[in-house]
Amino acid sequence: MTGHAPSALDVAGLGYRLGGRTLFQDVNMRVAPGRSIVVTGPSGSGKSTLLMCLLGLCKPSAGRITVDGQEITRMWPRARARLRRTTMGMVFQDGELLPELSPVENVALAALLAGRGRRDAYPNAQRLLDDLGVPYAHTRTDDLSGGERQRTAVARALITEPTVLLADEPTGALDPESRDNVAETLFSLPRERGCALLVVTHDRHVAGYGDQRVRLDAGHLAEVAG
Amino acid sequence: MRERGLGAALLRIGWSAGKGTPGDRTRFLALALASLALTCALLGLVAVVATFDGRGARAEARSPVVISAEQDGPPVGLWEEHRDSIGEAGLSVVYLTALDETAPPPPGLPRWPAPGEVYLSPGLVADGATQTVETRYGRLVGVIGSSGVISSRERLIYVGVEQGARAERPSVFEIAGFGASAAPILFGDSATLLGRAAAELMVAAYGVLVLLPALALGVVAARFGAYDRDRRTALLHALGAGNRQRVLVALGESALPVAVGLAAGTALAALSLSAGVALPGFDYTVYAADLRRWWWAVVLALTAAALALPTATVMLRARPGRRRRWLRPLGRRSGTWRIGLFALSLFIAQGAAFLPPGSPFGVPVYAVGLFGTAALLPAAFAALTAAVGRIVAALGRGHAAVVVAGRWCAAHPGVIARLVAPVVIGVIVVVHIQYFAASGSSGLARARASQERVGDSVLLIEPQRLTEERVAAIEDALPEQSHLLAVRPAAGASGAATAIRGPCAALREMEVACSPTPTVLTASDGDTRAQELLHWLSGGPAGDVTVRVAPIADSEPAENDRPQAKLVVLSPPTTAPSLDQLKNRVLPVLAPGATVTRFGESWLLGAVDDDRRAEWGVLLGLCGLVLLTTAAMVSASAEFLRFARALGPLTALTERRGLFIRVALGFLTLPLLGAGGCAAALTLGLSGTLRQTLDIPMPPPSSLAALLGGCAALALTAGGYAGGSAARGAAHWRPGQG
Repeated sequence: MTGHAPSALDVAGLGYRLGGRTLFQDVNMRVAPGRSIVVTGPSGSGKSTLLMCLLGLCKPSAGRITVDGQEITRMWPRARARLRRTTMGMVFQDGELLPELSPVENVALAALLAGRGRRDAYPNAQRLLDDLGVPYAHTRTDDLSGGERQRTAVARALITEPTVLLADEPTGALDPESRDNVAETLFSLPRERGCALLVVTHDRHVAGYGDQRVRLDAGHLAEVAG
Repeated sequence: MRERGLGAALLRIGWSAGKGTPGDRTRFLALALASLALTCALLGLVAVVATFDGRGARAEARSPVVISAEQDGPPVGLWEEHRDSIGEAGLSVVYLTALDETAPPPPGLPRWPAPGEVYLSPGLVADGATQTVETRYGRLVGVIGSSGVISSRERLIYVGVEQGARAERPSVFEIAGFGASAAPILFGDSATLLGRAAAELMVAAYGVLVLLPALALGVVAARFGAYDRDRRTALLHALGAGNRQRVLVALGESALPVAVGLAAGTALAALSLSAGVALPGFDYTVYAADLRRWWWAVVLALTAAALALPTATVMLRARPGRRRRWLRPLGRRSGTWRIGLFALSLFIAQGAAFLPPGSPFGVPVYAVGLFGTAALLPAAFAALTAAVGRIVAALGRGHAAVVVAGRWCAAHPGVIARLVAPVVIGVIVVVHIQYFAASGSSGLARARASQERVGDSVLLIEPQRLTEERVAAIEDALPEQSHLLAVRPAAGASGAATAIRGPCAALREMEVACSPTPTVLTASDGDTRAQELLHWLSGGPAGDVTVRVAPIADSEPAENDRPQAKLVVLSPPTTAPSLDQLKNRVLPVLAPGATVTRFGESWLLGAVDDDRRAEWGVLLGLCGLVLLTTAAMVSASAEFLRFARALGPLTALTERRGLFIRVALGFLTLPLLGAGGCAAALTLGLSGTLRQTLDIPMPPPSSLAALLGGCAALALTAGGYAGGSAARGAAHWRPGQG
């Protein structure tokens, strides 16, 4: 899990204690641009907390996290938020889209919040939705299918052209057909866009799409063979 | 034992659930506010009933027991009441003569006033009338106690007078004491503030304007954040929990905020029972003694308030299978017909102005239009807001907050309509209460018009007797440039016309020819003042008004069917003494019972009573407006917080939590401000029609500015609070929490 090639995401010796209990310790991983990693593990193993640490929403008790060459564990909150806006994207389990906004606006909103101008935000949002096959022209967000909603969420995560793309159970609420469709889309992104992808999932089938698979169990991260 | 353990556990579950859900602080605040509002509203209802009961008891206790064929007994005093005015408001003047000093004085007085001594009511002290009362009636020796006045605002004085003048005062009564329970003599405020109809009207107005809005706030607060609770309730139901278990969870959840509100309300009740309540911003005191007589109802009100909200949180649940659609279907433009109907209502209301003056259809047409306008304005405004939201979202595509707020407004017109409805309807209703109260009758319109034409250059004195000595005393008291005329009213039996007589100088003052023989005054004779005399005096049985040069003092024999002569004080319009100035000069030199008035005085003073009643309407209306607006804001905040949860992940990742404040300002504050402005503009426009239709000489009331100020404050508070709550919620968002 270590290497010397330039990495988009570099985690070294990461530990997290909650009260008197060690949730995980000595977690190490590197994800290079264009590569994907899947984190699996039983419920309560700390997968979501690890994700929060990677996003900079939660302070680890030990170790360091480097995103795009910048160590976020040593940053001030404002700088960390700026880095998160510009270099990281996130796909949530339920998409977390705003039903009042159109699919294009949902995607463009992330760009606007990241400080991008409207001249780029809306055309890029449309292009991404086109690329991901979301029928946005005459469809309300509320009327999108589960798979379409997740692909819209992927588009929203991609619109800031992140170096690191994180996904939290992105197929957890989908039927098998939609799950495969979204997983194929998601895991093709590193190759197509050169970003690093980290996916947290319970689904072994989805885990199979990753270039690299690791399992967080009993506080330790271990690589899963083949 | 196991059951008790389960009960405690369920209460704890509810307790924890009340603290750990999104928007929990807002729900706590909403429930505490609703509990306080409901407690105060129920206590207020008790206060209304207790106050009317207390007024009735005090009116009976102070009513004189008049000695008559049915009521025998040794006379203890003489009693006589007349009306006077200071400033624009009237007052009751009760003249007392003690025949038996040992007899109990009227309630509220420590003793009978000696001749030349005056007791005045707290209401007159508060109005700053002490000096004027002393000038007119005598030496002030005390203030009437609360047991002697009907209300804290009552304007009443007791004046001690000598017995000697009694024979010449026809309205004086011999009394055997005070406390006439059968057919009491009503005077002061008891003439207007008592009676079953007045009490029922007040209770009905209070119920509609305060109690119902307080209940509405309770319902909204109980349903705040109901989505999570309904899910929990359904889960408990699925797990086999019965009604009792669900009630315990609901109680655990709402007990603390309800207790906080109830505690504040109970403190207020305790204070009211011990020291009474002075209504804030409104010169009125609810007497503790009145409330204490109804202590059991206070306890009942507190109990009802304690039970109401927990019951509402248990009873008000979503019905299975009745899931509402959150968003409007795409492309639906349901607001168009509402805007059309609103425009039609507005047209009907404005159309009243095109009816002929005095038309019986003017007010009904206006009322129909006004009702339609008020009822449809919230929906029309919401439809307009939705349209504007769509446009703004399209135009402001580069600004995240503008896009989100615009789309939100476009997608939730129902929330906007519910939010702005209390403001819109409240502003229209409160202002119209004042306008309708000011409209009065045709008599009031005549009195006001007369006042506008001649001011105080023509005033009336009713001196009781018109002897040469009294006339001379009055003439001495008059300003130098003023003149006296005597008016002998028309007599039915003799067919005599109303006769004006006086010195030639007085007749010339009003440009009427001097003639010793009676001359009929016509519409073309004299100046404005002469026309005004003709206007007010020509309504007698004989119709005509004659004028002649003759002495002022009465020389004609008294006639039973002919009222006593009055005096008219004519003054140059530019230097005329005011009514109060003339009273201050004349009343001290006249015996008890004399009055100085304007033409149409009873109408003008009655209008002041109407204004006071309207003040109550405005006060209750404002209470209702604040309660309903709070309810609407709580409801809208709940919708906003639910929406904010969806936006939480994105803002947590980007750390752009200021977005919530901007969106809340766009969704809550701007529509409220816009609705307030629209309602004010509409009210001003419509009231122009009303003033024209009813001939109301009243500018837009100052309450309108106060309403708009309050509305703006509420709007900013709502936006800031909801935005802040949402931002705090977003700060605590974590992946996997939904």
